[in-house]
Amino acid sequence: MQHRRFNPRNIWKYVLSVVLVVIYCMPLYVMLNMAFKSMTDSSSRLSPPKELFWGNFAQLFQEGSIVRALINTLVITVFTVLIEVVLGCMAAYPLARHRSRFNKLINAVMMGVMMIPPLSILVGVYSTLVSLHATSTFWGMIIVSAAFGLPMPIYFFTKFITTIPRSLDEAAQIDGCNTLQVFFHVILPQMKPAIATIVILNGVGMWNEYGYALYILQKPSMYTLTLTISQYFSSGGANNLNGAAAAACIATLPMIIMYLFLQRYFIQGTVDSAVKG
Amino acid sequence: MRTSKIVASLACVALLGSTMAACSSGSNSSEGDHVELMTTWTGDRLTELKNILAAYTKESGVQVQVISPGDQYETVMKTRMASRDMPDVFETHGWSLERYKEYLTPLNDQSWASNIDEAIKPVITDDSGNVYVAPLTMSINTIVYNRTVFRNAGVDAAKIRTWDDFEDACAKIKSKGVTPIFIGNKSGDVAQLAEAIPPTMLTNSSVKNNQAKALKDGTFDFTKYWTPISQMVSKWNANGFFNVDLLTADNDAGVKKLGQGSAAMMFGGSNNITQARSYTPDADLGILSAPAAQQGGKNSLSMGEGMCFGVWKDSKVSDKAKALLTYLAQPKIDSRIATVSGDVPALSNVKNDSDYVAKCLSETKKMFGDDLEYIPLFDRAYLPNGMWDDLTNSFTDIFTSPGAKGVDESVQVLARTYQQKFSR
Repeated sequence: MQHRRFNPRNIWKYVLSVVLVVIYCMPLYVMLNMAFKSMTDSSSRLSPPKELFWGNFAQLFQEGSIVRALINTLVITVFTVLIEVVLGCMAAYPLARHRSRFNKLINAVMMGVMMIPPLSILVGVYSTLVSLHATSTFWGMIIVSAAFGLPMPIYFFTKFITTIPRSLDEAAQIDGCNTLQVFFHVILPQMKPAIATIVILNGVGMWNEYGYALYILQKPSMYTLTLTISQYFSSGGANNLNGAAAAACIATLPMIIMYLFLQRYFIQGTVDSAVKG
Repeated sequence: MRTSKIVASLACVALLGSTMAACSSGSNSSEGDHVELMTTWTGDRLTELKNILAAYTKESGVQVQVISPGDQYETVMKTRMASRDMPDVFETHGWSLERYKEYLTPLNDQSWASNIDEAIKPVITDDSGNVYVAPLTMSINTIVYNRTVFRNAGVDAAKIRTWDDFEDACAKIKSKGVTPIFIGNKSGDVAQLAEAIPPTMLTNSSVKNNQAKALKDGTFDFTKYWTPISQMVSKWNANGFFNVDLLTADNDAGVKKLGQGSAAMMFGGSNNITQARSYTPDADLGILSAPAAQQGGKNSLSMGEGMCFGVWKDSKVSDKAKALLTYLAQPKIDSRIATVSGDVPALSNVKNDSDYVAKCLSETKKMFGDDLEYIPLFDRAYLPNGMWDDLTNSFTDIFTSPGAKGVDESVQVLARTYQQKFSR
């Protein structure tokens, strides 16, 4: 194995890297630091605690709300992403293979929907959910999130499928496959990188979702992680930033685990979304 | 890669461990035929409210589901108002008449209604004499101060009788290296100045050329009467009486500094005292009344809605909701609510003399005796609905454009928006 020699002319790259690492690690450091300090500790947010204060975590687990929030967030994220991926793939295949005027119109509509800020139609969506008795339910949150999240996967998958040679479909059809078989046995296996990209991007997005969850999930038993953390911020009382930091530590842990296991896909996904999206 | 897998495995173990630890201690409340109650409270205050409600459930068998959207309370309520899907019981946070009246059921016939304190009664009663909320507490919205800072600077709170005295006190405090007035304007708190200054120059009983009527009938002359208010704030700014990060700081930073003694005063509610003491438990704090504009005038304390709950008029569990309010209005319960909120009880049969804020209030009353006037919140009583943000913008102009230009802009902004909102 050949080691590359250190080139003094490249030292600025190392300095820049260190600066970037410090900048990126700073919020995590502050979060951890605050989590281990009590609310009455008035020292700087950057200075380390004199002694580790476990009270914030103890309170968090005594209440039990964080675990319920973890489960709720997991359920909503998994089902939303599942719907987006399954429906997104199946909608993208015909859109990519039949470039008719109608399909172009559908693509344009998808692009249009992506341009609508979700919260701009909040009142209409909320009123509909109330009339369907869907507030504070998993399915209400999941269908709304999936509806807003679907256009991006459809668009992304459509572009991806157009890069798969049409001759593969034709060869499968000659071998006797019908359209669904072609899709499931030939096209879908080719789409793994694109699906991983969507799972990562939309999965992280759903994990951190706050805007709609605030309105749809009002029962405390339905709170997600972001809503549980927001409980530490008061409209009139004191903000318990230390409690919020402890809750944020727990909330980010699953994402950190996922990142450590799937970092190859994360990086690939980011590159793919930049190149193909 | 191997290192990252080890780290990930350790994190997995930590997460699993914490989950199991929590599962053993966490509990889910049972749900059934319940009353939905929405509050602005979070943290310790919410915990105390939940304890009270748990006792109520035990006593009555009625489940109460508490919803607490924290600092997003108003946005959630606005969406629910637009969708006509209100909680059975909800906090009106100072807007029982102007904003929520059409969604609330009158509560005049409730047993506690006859005990409503005279100081809060006009604030929550409409023109037809209806009351729509159970006023559990009332907030004192004027100035809170750090007694230790005052002592160290040689300032006697009892001798601050006019705004000139107030300015002298600020100068003495500043000379000791302490910020005289802290305002956290990140969420628009500079408008708190409007609860203390304008009443003393425009509407209090001792004001000679009283403008209360003109403000209410839309004929108020802002250029003539509001300019002195903006000029005074501008002068304080020029003298360095405010914190330098006024435009970007939040209220939380203010209460911390007030408690620690690096700021002497904050304009705003008495709940700032409770908050400051949650950060600095041994802070020695007090309530300062707004001084008069001229010598011989009365000092004043602005009183507003504190913790007030109303019942949604279309609630399917209206009777249960009213029974809950009756429970909360009991002297023992209301006293606990007042103590944890940092306000004072708004029902005359409730006493919580041992509470810190109540003691502060009684000390202020003793300090000024008959020279103290209780007044309603200025923006709610004399300005059209929805002018809080305009007050914020108006006072902010003074700080973003120091000097005569800022004063002029401040007055013009307010005059324009007042006319627009009044004509609606």
